[in-house]
Amino acid sequence: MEFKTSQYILISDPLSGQADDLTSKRMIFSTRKGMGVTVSNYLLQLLESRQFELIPDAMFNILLFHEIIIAADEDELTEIVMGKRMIVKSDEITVGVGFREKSFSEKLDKATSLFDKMRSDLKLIKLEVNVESFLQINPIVNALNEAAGSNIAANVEIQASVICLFSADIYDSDLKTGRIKLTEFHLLVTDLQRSQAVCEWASAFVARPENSGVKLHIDIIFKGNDIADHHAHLLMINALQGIEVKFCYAGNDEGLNASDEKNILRSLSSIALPYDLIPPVSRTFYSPIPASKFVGDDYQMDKTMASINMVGDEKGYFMKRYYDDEIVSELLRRDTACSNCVYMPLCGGRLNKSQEHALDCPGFISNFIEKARLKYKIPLEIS
Amino acid sequence: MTHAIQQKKIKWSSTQLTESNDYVRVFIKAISEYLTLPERQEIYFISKFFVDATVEIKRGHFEYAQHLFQRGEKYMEKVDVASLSGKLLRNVYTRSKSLYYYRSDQYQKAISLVDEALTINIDLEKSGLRFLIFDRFSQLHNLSRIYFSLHQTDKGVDVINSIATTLMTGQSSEYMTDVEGFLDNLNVDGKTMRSSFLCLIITETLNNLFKLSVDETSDGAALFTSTFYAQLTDAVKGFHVLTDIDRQLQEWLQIIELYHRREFDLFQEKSIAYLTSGRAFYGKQPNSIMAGYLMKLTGPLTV
Repeated sequence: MEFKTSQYILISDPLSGQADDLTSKRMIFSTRKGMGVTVSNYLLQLLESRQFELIPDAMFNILLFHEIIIAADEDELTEIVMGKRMIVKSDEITVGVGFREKSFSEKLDKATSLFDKMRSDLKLIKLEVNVESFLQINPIVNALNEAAGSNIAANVEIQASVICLFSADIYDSDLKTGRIKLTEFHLLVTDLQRSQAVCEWASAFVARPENSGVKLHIDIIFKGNDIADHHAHLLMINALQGIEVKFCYAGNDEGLNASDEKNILRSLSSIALPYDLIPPVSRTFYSPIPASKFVGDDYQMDKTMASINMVGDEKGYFMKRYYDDEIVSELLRRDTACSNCVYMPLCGGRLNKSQEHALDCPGFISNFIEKARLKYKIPLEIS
Repeated sequence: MTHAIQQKKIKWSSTQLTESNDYVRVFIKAISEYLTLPERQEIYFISKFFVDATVEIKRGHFEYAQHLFQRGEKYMEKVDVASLSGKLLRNVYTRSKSLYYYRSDQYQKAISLVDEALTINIDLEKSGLRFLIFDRFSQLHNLSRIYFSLHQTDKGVDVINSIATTLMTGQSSEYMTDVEGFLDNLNVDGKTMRSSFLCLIITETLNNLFKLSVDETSDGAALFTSTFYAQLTDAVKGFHVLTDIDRQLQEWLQIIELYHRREFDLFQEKSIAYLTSGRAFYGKQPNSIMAGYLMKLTGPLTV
């Protein structure tokens, strides 16, 4: 049996000790699995010199599991692309509808009529309310109630998931949503000054019996180096029972300032917050499509789309797409920078990049090794 | 503690190499005595396709699972079927592929692969890999699930009773033959696996039977619960208690038994005492089952 080392790995600096010491540890991160493993320099040498027969059974299994050791005859890119293609084909289709308060009904109509045409494939419509300005919760709830009227086919199951920026209105709003079953409530906290209020509101929310079937998610977005000032309340929010709390950096898909983020990572290394560093291995990639495609009613959904995020403004639209023939052949011909990028299995790839390739890449790729260190509780800076 | 035990429970097609550390350790140690390193690495490598395939099946990715099976099969073809490597691989393969058939509603194919796996298992156990008896328990557990899916509840219950009897008493039973020295040969890992496997099959089966009796409110379902328990009672008498979990399970079973012996006053007294004492093992599943029994008798317990 012939083996080789995967090309989709990242190797860290030594995590302790001298760089050339054979017992010093490094982390090998597999982007195929989205997981890392720490190994000694000695073991790394064995991998690099392909002396797989000297690797003990237990470690060999771990490296196989991480897909760091693979068959010598495997064409990795083809395997990954074809694998993703097969997987997303059988995944449920979700559509996320982002909207501004006023255009909500219109957008939802459009989304449901699009999905009506392919009803058999539709399992779940997930509504995401994601606005840039502070938003009142009650209009959303009313709109959801209206939307539950006759214009939605009876066999389409709708589970609403509301994302809302934190505002004072939330305190006394009633989340009854009529025929739409509200299953998830996402709260996006972008202003850390409000941490204490969020904490109080969330405790009250989960205590209400009528909210017992609603899963509350709180996403706390760091914009800058303001974590330390509010960390006491952040820790309290994190400790709340029955709530899923996620901490993330504001610079997400849109490109980001890598050095600002590094500062945040430094603050986080001294505060025990479960910062969301490494995303799960992606099954889809994003592809921007022109806004004009959505104008009028003639736009045809096809099965190559997994999800459309209809945030309708000048920025245009982007959508997740299945690995269709066009994308697959582009990747396999190595016509795109993604074909040779070690992050591809993790990020899913994003074709149609600009010349400034890195700017179009998902945010998590920046400072990746630092994030991996933070995740595995390895000291952030090694001199 | 409880959490650790839950993680260790053997699932369908227990992934030989990654799912349970105990199992991996025992597996590697055992095959190291019989196989060279290149042979072992080959087994680890090929098994991974089948193990990964089971993960994808559970996620509903059948096409990808099929692809992984095909890749693994291609490498497996080059291994001599009659060799120890060949048999070990076939062992992993049959259990994974039977899950594939089970989940795609091809029950007869699934059953025949389970049968084949049992034969290979006995063969491998006789050639010295005695710990593979746990694979056999697991295969039979899978078989019972197939019978439950086919609504052949009586057969499913028979299989579970057979596994439970052998696990508890160490004696052979209808489906578990060739078990000489099973209890004597258990090491620490084996004892732990035995305890959690017993908890798994007993709670799972009682839960299934409960669901049947709730859904159909038929006497038939209630009868199955009683039959299951009547057969289990014999096994409980010969239960060799080897771990702390075993002791807790035994104590719990003795209370449940009161219900089936229709000693309702005593059952009510003991079960309320048990449930309010804060005792719990194997997650809290046994507690909720006991509360379910109590519910049948007196309505919900208010503490």
